[in-house]
Amino acid sequence: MNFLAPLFLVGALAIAAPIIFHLIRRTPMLQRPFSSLMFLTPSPPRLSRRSRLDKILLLLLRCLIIGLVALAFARPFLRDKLPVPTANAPAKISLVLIDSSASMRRQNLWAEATARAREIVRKASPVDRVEVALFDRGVRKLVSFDEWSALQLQERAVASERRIADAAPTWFAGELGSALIFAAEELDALGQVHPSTLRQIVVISDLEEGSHVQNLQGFDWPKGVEVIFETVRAKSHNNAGLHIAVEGESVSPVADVRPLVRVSNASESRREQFRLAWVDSRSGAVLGNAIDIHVVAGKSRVARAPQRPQTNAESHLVLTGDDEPFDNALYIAAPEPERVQVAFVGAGAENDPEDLLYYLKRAFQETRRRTVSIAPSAAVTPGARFVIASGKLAESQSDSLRKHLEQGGSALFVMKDVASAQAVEQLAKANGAVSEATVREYAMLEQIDFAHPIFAPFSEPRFSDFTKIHFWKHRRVETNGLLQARVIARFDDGSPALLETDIGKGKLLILTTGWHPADSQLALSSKFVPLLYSMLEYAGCFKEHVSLLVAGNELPLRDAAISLQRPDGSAVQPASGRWILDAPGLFKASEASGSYNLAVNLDPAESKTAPLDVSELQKLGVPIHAPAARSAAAVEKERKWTHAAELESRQKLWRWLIIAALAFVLVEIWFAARVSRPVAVEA
Amino acid sequence: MPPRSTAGPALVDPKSLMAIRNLEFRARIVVEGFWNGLHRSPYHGFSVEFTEFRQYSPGDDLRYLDWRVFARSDRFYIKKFEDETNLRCHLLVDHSRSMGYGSLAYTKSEYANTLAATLAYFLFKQGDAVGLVTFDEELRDILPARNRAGHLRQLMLALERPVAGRSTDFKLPLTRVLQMVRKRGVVVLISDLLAPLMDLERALGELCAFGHEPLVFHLLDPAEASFKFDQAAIFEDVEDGRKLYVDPITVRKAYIGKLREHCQAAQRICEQRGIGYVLLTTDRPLEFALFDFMRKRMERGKRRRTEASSSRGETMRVIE
Repeated sequence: MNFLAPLFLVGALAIAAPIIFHLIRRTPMLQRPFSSLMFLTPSPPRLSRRSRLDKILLLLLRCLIIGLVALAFARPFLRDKLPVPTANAPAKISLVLIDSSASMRRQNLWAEATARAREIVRKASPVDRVEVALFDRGVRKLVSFDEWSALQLQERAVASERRIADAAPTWFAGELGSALIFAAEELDALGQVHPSTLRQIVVISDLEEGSHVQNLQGFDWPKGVEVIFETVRAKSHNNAGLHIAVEGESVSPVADVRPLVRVSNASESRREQFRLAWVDSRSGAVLGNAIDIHVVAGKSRVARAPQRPQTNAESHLVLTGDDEPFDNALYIAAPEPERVQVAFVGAGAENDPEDLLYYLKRAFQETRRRTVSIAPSAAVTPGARFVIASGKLAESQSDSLRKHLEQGGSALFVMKDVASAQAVEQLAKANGAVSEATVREYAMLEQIDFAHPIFAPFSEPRFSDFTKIHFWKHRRVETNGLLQARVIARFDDGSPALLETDIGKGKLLILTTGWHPADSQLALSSKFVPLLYSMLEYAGCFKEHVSLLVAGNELPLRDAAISLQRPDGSAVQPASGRWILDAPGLFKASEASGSYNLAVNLDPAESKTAPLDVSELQKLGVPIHAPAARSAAAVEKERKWTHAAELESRQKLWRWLIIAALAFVLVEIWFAARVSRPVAVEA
Repeated sequence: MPPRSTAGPALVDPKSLMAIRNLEFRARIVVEGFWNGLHRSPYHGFSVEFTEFRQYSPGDDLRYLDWRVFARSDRFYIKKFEDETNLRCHLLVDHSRSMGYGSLAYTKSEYANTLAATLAYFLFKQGDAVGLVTFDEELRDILPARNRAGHLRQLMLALERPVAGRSTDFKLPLTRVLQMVRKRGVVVLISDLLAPLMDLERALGELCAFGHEPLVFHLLDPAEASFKFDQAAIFEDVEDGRKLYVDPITVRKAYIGKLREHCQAAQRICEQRGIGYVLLTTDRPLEFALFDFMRKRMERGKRRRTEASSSRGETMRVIE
C-alpha cells in the first residue's frame, strides 16, 4: 500500500491522547468543591476489575478510530498497472522575436541577443516548430515556420543560426507592442491547426523604456499563447540622447545657426555632465566651440546648440560624455528656400487693380521656405509647375497648355467672361453650354466639397464660412458638357463655381468667375491666398515638409525623377512607391531643379534605455510565462505524483476508511454509554 | 416551630424568590407577604416602644423641654426622642467562602443575604435602627445602626458584595460589635458556624454580659445536611483549598454524626446563655425565619429561665 500524503500518518500519534486520558481516568476524575471538610474523613479509592476491562475495550475503540482517520487522511492507494505516460517533452511552437532596434547597438547587446536566439534554435527538438524574426519598426522574418518545416532536420539549426548571424541591428525605433501583437496573431492562426500544442513567443530584447508597448492595451490575447522574455541587459546605463527640441516652422531665425536641442539623460545614468559640439560629418573633426550641459539622471534639458560653423562641409551636432554613442548625433539640414514658378497665360495687366494678374502678383509673398514667382508669358514655359490661364487663349497658348496638362501638369483656368469658354472647350475637347448667369445683388459659394484636398484646409468650422465672399458676376456652365468634370464648389443658384477635370495625366481646375473687383470680392477675402496655396499644394508644386524626420520614416515618392542618396552615398531604392529612411544622417534628394538635404535623426524613444519593468507588460495583459528553473528530477517527481494522485482518486480507499471510522464512533458511543451507566447507590 | 397552617399559601418558594436579582425587592416580597399574614398571626402587637412626652420633673435636662407644647398648654413636657427609645439591631452576616457553597440554584450566602435584607427591611419599616457587619476571617463592612432614608440602600449594597474570606472567625466581629455598640440592642448572627465553636462561645458570652440580646441563625445547605452524594470524588474545601478523596457512601454516617454533634454543641452554647438559636436549611421559606426571629425575641424572657428541650428535637429533624 502506498500513500499520497504520508505526512498525515503522523496524525496517528494522536492515539497517545486517548491512552493518556484513560490513564488519567484511573485516578478519581471528579472534583467536588464542598463548604468544609471539618466532618469528613478520607476513604481509600475503590477499583473494580470489570470496569477496567470495559475501559480497555473503549480505549482500543478510540485508538482505532483515530488510526483510521489518520490513515484516511494519508490517502492510501494500491499500486497497479496504470500505464505511465511517456516522459517525452511535448512539441511546442516557438516564435523567437529578436529586437533589432537602434538601442540594441549598445555595447554587446546584439551579440548576446543573437547568441541566445541561436541557443534556442539549437535546442529545438525535432517535433518543435520555430520561427525567428527581427522586430523594430516592423517584423521581418529570418526563418518562417514554413521554411523551418521545409528544412531537413539536421539543417534547421545550422541554417537558422547562419541567418541570425547575418542579421544586424537597424537604426529604427523598436515597436515591441506591434511585434507582440503580430506574433500573437500568427500563433493564434497556427493554434487553430495545432490546438493542443504549446505555443510561445520568446522575446529577446533589451526591454528599454522606449519600446512602444501602449498599443498592447486592449489587445485580446489568444488563449494558449504565452510570452517568455529573454532580457539582455547592458552593463552600464550611462546614456544620454541628443534630439531636436522644436519642430516645424515655428523655429526662430536663429534656429538655423543655433538650433534648440534636447539632451535627455536615462533614468539610471550615473553621468550628468555632457559636452555638445558641431562635428565635420566626413572627417569627424570638432568645429567651433563646444558647450557643456549638465543634465540630472532621468531628466531632459533643452539648450541652444553652439554657433553653427560657417563651412561648406556638412556638419552635425555631437554629444559627448556618455557611454553609448549610438544616439549622440543630431543632423540638421540647412534649409534652402524652394522656388516655385507659376506661369500666367493670357491677357493681364500687372498694375491694373481691375485685373486678375494685379492680385495674383501680390498674393504670393516670399517666405523663408519658398518663393512663388508669377511669370506672365505668352506660352507655358517648361519649368512652370503650375499654370494659371485666363480669358481668350491664342491657338499656340492653348496648345502649350494642353501639352503641359497631358504631361501631368496642373492648371487653373479662370473663366472671366463667356468668351473665354471657348478656350475651355478647346482644352477639354468638349462642348459645354456656357452662359452669363443672372445674379440678383450677389451670389455666394455653397455646396463646397470640404473633403476635396483644395478645400480640406478650410474644413474646420471656424474657417469654413465662405458666405462673406460675394460674387457679382459668374458664368453658368452645364457640367454634362464637360466630360468627367467634378464640381468642387457651387454657387447658391446651383451652377458650378469650381470644377476639376482630367486632361491627359494632368488636372485642369476651372473657376467660373474671377477674383477681380468686376466679378467678385474674392481677391479681397482672407480666403484668397490660402486657396491659391491650397491649389498649388494640390498640384504638387511644393516639396515635402522635411524639417523633422526620424529613421524609419517613409517618404512618398513624389516624382520618379527624384533620387535619394543615403549619407554614405548609396541610393535609396523605393519600395512600393515610398522611400524608407533607414539610417540617421543627411540624405540628399536630387531632382531636375537641383538637390536638397533631408536630415534624418534617431527616434527619441530609443534613447530611453532605462530597463522596462516586465510587470508593466503584465499589467497590459501580456501572458508572461514565469521561467521556472526545474530540474529533470523535479519534473519526474511531479509526474509520479500526478500518476499516484490519479490512482488514488480512482480507488478512493479513504472513503471506506472514513466509513469504518464512523461505524466505530457509533460503537464507541454505545459502548461508552453502557459502561458509564450510573450504578444505583445503595442507601 | 412556626405554625405552618397560618403561613401556608402566603409563603414564597425560596427558589423563585432567589431568582429575583434585586435584594431589596426580595426582602420586600417576604416582608409584605408577612405583613399580610400578620393579622391572623398570634404574634400581633410585637414592636418597639412608642415615642412619648413626659411631664417635666426637676432634674431633667432642659434641652429636651418641648417649648411648643409649653406655649400651647402652659405646661412643661419633656420630649423623648424616637432614636432613644427604638430598637437597635445589628446584623452580623458571615461572608466567608464556605457561605459561597450551594447545592441549590443559590448559595448559602445568597440565602443569608436575603435573610439579613428581609430582617433589615422589616425592622426598618417599623422604624427601628438597623446596622450591618459582614465578616470572614476579618471584618469587611461595618454599617452602624441607623434609621435614615438611604441607609437601607447602603445596607443592601454591602450585603451584595461577593464572598471572599478564607475562613470564619467569630471572635473578631463580635468583639468589634461590643466596642462599637455601647447601647444595648439585638445582635443577629447569620452564619453556617463552620468554625471551631470555642470562639463563638466566648464571644456570645461577652455579648450577653454587656446586656445585648444575641440571636443565632445557623444556615445549612440541604446537601450539607443530608450528604446525599453517590459518587466518589475529591472533595475540595472551598475555604482553604484542602483536598480529600471521599467515597460518600462509606463516609456518610460518620459525617452526619459529626455534623449533628456540632449543631447540638452550638445549640447548647446558645441555650446556656438564653440566646435564640435557629437552625435553617436554605430550602426553607424565609417567612419562617422571620417568624422564628420574632418568636425568639418574644420568648427570650422565658427562654432565659427555662430549658427548651423541644427545640433540640427540631434540630435533629433538620439534619436528617
